[in-house]
Amino acid sequence: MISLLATILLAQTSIPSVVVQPSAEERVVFSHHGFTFFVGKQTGQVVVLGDGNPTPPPNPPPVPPDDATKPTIKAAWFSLIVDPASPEQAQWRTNSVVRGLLKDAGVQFRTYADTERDIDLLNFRSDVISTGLPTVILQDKSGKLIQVKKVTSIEELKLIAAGLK
Amino acid sequence: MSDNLDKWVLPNGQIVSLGNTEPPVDLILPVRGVLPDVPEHKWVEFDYRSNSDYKVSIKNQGSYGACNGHAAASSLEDARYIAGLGYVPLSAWLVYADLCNGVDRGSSIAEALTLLQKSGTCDDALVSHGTINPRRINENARENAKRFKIEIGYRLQNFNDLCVACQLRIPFNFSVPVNAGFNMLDSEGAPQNRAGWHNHAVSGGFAMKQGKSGWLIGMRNSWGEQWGNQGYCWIAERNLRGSGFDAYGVFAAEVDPANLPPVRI
Repeated sequence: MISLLATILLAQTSIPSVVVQPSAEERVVFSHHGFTFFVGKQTGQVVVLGDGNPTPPPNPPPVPPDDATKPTIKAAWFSLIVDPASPEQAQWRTNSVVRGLLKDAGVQFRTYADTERDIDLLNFRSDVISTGLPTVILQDKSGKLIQVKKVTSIEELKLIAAGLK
Repeated sequence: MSDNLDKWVLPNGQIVSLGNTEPPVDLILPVRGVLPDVPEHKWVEFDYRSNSDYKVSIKNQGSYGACNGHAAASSLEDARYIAGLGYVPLSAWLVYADLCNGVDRGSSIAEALTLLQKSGTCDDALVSHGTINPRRINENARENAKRFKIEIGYRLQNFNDLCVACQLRIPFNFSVPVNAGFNMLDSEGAPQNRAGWHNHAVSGGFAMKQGKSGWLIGMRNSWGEQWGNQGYCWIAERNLRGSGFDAYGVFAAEVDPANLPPVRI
């Protein structure tokens, strides 16, 4: 036992401490995930500071509008179907900006209240039910469906109309 | 001019017949369910007449009791505007000719709308002003009328319903009591009539505003642009007091083969 202790004590080596002088080396500084990195330009020495708490991510780059607002080639008919009990949606029916944009784009505009029989005659009913109100239906000249979309605001409606130019 | 209908003298001296009558008891209109409610705090002012693409104008029924033919044709013009259909001035005379069958005896709102739903009316240019004999209406006009029909909407029971219909952008025909003071508009542009029998039919749904003592709806008359404010006036709740009130909202029907949206494929 005594010999074991003596062996251990003899195996330990003292490590001398040194004082590091402040570096005058030019450094590159950058932050990543809550740490600040100092990288010496000549020595490549790296010093890391920080608590590791990630900084809030930067604002994401603007997301382009979804397909509904992109120009849709060959759209000839733009039908807006509204909730018959919504005064807000009723106002959209005569919005001069939407009408003007569609007129400029050469697209025919129609609006209906959901309870009108025309919805059934034009074979829109299943699209309206599955998509929800208010619904925009884009068709080509022959009636082929291009897009069915539920819109949430008059601004979105204007964007869709503007995208048809 | 009919001897059986009440007469009314306009400010310019012209005499018109007041042609709104009670509907036949056996006439049942295919109306929808109950008009949705829109609480007053959600009501907003609007006026289509300030829109550059709005072209519906004042008609003139002359001396005839043809108010319902005129109100019905104007309502369809409004409904077509809301639906996005192009403006076509529509004939009130085809409607009235079929309603009265050549005898200037007036008609009801319900009869006029039923006819407009079944037979439609034609381009105004195809029937001469003052035509009340249906045998004078040619086949071309009859064929053209198939393009312009209505779908009958809700029955409107009172002034509040008219305001709600305005807010829901549903044009309508309604009746008013024409009596002493009707030609004189007050500071808000409303007639100064009294309670009485609703002997005249007009159209509304194109405008609404808030007045000093409550809401007012725009009224389009059919006595030419000389009457009222270029043919128009505003109607407050007080203007509808009396008996015989009748009103229905309408929608434009997509039946125009010349401009029909394609069936969805």
